[in-house]
Amino acid sequence: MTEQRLEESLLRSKGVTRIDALEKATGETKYTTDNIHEDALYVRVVRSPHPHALIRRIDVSAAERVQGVVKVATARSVPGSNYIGYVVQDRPLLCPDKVRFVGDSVALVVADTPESAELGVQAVRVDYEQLPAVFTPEEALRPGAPAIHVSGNLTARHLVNFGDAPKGLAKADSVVRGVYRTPVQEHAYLETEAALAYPKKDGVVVLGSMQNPFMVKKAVSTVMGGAAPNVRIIQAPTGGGFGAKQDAPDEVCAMAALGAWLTKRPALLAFSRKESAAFHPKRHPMTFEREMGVTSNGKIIAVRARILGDGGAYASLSERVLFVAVIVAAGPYVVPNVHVEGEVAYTNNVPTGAFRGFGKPQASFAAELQMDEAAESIGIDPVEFRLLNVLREGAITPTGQILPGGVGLEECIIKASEASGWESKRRAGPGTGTKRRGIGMACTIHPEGLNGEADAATASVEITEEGRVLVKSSLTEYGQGIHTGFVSIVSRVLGTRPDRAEVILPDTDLVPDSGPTVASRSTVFGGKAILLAAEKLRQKLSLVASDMLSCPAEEISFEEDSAVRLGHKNERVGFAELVAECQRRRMSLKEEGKVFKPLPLWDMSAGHGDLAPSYAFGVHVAEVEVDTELGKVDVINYIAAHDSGTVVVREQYESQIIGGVAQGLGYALMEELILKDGVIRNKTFLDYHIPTAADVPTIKTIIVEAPDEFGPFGAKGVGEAGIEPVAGAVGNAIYNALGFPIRRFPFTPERVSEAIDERSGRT
Amino acid sequence: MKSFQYLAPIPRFEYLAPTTLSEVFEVLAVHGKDAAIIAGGTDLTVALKERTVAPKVVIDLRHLRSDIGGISVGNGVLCIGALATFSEIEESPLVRRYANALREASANVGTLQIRTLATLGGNLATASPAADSAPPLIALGADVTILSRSGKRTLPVQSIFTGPKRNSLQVGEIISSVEIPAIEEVRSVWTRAAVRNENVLSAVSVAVVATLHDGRFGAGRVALGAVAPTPILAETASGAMAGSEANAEQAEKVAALAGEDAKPISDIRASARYRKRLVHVLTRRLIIQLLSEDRTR
Repeated sequence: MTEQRLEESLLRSKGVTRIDALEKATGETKYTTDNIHEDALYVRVVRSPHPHALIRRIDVSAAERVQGVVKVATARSVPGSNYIGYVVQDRPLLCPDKVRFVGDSVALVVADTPESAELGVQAVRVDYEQLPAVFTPEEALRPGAPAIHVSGNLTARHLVNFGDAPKGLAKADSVVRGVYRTPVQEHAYLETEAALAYPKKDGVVVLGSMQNPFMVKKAVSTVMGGAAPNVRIIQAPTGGGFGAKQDAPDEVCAMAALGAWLTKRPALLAFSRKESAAFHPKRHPMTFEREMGVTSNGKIIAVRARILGDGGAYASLSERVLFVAVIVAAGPYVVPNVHVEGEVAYTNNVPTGAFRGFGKPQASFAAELQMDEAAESIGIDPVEFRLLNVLREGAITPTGQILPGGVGLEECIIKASEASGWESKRRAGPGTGTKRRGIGMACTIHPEGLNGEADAATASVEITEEGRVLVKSSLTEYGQGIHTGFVSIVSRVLGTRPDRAEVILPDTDLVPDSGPTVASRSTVFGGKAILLAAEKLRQKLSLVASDMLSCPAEEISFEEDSAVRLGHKNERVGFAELVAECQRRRMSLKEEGKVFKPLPLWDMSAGHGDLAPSYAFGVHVAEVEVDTELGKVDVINYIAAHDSGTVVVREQYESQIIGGVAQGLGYALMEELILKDGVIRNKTFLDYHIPTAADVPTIKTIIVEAPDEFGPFGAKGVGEAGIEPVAGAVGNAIYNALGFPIRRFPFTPERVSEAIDERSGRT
Repeated sequence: MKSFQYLAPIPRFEYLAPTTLSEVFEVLAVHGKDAAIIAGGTDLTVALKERTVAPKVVIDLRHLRSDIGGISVGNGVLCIGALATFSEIEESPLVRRYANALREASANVGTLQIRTLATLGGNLATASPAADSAPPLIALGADVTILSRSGKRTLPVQSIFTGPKRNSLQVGEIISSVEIPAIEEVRSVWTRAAVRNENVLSAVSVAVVATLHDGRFGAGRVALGAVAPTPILAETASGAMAGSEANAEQAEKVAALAGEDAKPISDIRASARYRKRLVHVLTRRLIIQLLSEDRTR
């Protein structure tokens, strides 16, 4: 294939050019570790081998004598504050007196070569006094448990309280109860953590793999303190994040910055796969003790739930993740009486934090499995049961908010069940042999934006004298395709060719703060800010065009790379000519767009109120074949219907959903980080299995567009929703195939086999 | 710009690529214990990176393909050279004809990239209890030929395995080939169980070999991988097959015995109890599969 043909088939198969695809496919993209200068030093981290221990003494003298070692840093070397963290600043960059998990950071060795750095790490002597450790949240919250932090072992607590759940349960015709458990999931991104720092006058520049440059800037500035007030952060092309690169890069970049600042030379810190697995926060494992009351005519009357999560050694994003799990715990249904209490505890395990879905995949699994159990208890089909209770526009949510417009959930349920052949397959039943078929549905609700927080974004759009359209925001591309989305938005507003647009790599010296690249908010908040900036530019341009075409500005439209007079197709001025005229008039063609979402009217202590200006929804149907002798589950059909508002770029919208489903199938079927006494037993891809193409069926996507008033063109977020209902849909399909629910996943062959044995009384 | 490695470079070693067998034995005589042998390199390079081996010399056998590579049949024996890759074995019509179970196992080793490099001799020498090639070879009654300066010796394939990642090769010896009786009537099948469908270590693997005459098994053998410190012949199960009636009832009996023959441990991939279950079910299914393919009735 010629290069040109390749380019066409890669990028233009469906008409949208993904701006970074060709250079990524051909290997031209320069990631952080592709940018090492000859004089760069290598940073390595001395890590704790113990889950919980006091540091009696750190002796670096032997390490400093290792040939090639330039500097050994400990907590005492930190010029500013040693403590960072997104919600609570409880995590030392380098532990001064105590370690709290296997892998905790104790010292840094900076050396000429990786070998010297490794030898230096081995030569650092740390005297530990081991402390009793706790590895489950239940143990951690027991009275008298060893305290992991001086503040105690409770990381966070949240509450939803709406109506009167005990009274509702008492009135119910049927109450189902169950305990549901979810596993620890590893992000398993292709590119492990990396940062390259350069010293400069009064500060440092850090290039790194990250989601949020301005948050990294805050963390690095905190660590450097007054010693290096001048901090600049540049996001290198980033090979995946899925949430762990929300806060992990704070530490990685701060460590590289410290290495560079202490040695006055460029310093690189990059993790091997094992180090990455040992260090960055994972998806919280959660236990849901859940009760649901329903009436005999199929209405949900009450939900009561208690959630307990393992937060690991440091707070990370636990408090936020728990909040989201608690607010969506009752599911996307009308539930008049709700009581949900959630707690996350510190343990001596690897920390847990942000991961695509952010508490929703866990909550959705528990809620959706119990939905099917409740439906069975009153003899109603699961789809019919969902339709009887589904949230519609104007309904009151389980957290007490009157639902604003743009609610496509019901349509998603109807279309997904129709496309799956639901009725005939449920009627046909699982069969009787050793291969049983089952079909199951699960739903998710996604409150838009940063939940429980005010949210804001600023972005700018600038037209250069050559007629290039520069988009500047701090929202990062790490695989989602968001920058292509931004190109699509400016090109639509300005009517320009997409190849005029260029998205500047996020750099805290060059771009405005658009907030973090998290929570499926980039298109909605960043895209909206870009749209507003582009609209301001269009207004300016239309005034100039109206002069040039001698018509009122209101008659100017922008299309086909030109300003055109409405109804007079031949009266037009090309974009380049228009920009040249603006230059002659010495006009500034640079505009900012700002969006702001105020703090929602949520009453933290009462546990109800308004949460989000709008909601996105997803409904999945999985069809499985279960081998009842081996316990093996094959997913044979998969349908994902989503209402994420108006679609901006269809291919990327679908790829976000399909990618989310594939990652969700891994979560549902095989992914589980196994810890024993705080030691991760499956750090590499030999033992931590993510799905291959041979494990993922064709995924059919269904698009339902219930537009939102806030997002650009009516868009809602779609980055996370694809993973959220997967474990529930697969779980319910297995339930249908076997005739009983399995309330714990991943549904590995051995776990399913054990559940079948237990059910049939075999041991 | 510098190129970057996440791990410090592998410690230096001398690399030798002899072009004749006598040169191989010469360098083995000199470097003996300090040498590691590389064929496909899919095991050795990982071990080097993980620092589980630190040889002073690496001896590459790549130039010896005409001596100890290739697949041929002669004198009633299918001979597979130690340097034959799993891709070659997978695609060989001779293997398909005489050693179908080995073809099936070979087609499931690692990924396409691994199969293109990894060799049969290397798989045996690494001596993993989960070596996918071993159960088919054991069940097919294969022998291994070993060469050294002082000549050659032949031993049954399971004798190569002495423990997890331990083989019976002496310093100065290399595997040259594997010999499988080439008998048209012999039917052989293989399967495995694992947590995902591709590119995964087997939780267990099972091979069944049998001849069928007039509704009875002639000879029959069941061999198992990943259920003991080495791949094993399921002896009582194999004994119960020989001469017995070939039907579903007998398949279940043999399979249950195979489950008893398995002596697995519990590890990160599966519990001992579940592994025995897998052996039982997979063995039964393989025998039923052989019966359904039986054209002698």
